[in-house]
Amino acid sequence: MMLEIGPHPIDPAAALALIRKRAPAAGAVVSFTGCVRAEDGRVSALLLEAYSPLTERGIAAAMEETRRRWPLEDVLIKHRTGWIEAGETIVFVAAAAAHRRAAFEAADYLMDALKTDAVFWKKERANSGEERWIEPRPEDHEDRARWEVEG
Amino acid sequence: MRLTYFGRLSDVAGCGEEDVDLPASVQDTLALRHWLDRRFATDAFVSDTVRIAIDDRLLPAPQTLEGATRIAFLPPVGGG
Repeated sequence: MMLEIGPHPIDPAAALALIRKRAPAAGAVVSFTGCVRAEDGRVSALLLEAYSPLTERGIAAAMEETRRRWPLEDVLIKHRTGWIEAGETIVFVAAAAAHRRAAFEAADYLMDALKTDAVFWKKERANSGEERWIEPRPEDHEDRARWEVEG
Repeated sequence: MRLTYFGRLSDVAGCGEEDVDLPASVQDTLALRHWLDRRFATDAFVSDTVRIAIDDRLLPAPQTLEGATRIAFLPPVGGG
């Protein structure tokens, strides 16, 4: 299990190579790369603010829960903070397992948990230069709620 | 006392973090919320959507400030 939160750019290919190296027995590795959406050219950058050590603690707990629910060889999360330009990678999540189903579901679950439970404040900078803080979206909680029923 | 403001509260306070001497009348988190609202001429801090962490631990309000060194104010976190 590996978690990195920081201002350095994320290299998804290198991160994928890393989890494959960490989990040589895995028959399946599913990864997700999240990027800053330009929203039709409206958004120029996103600011991600974390609260160490609470942010790390919360995500680590979600990773532990993921490992409890699925038989996994490894999970890896890299999350960027600071100002991130449109098009750049903001998050990389990967799950390695013996078989694909567990890896797919674990990666999906982790992303939903990150979206709803992770302690990150986000500020959007428009191309006009205007900045605004982003409030939670109801649909993120609906995504998260899927897993409560399925257990 | 070190006060840390996250998200939009850093805009309200004009900084992300500051060291302040609290008046003797401010003994718990509820009094601190009201004190900050008066100081910054806002009603942002008394809102129950703003959570408080004392020395990096999230606690149900109100709590005594006795022995605390860092108080953090957490507005709702942003979605995707």
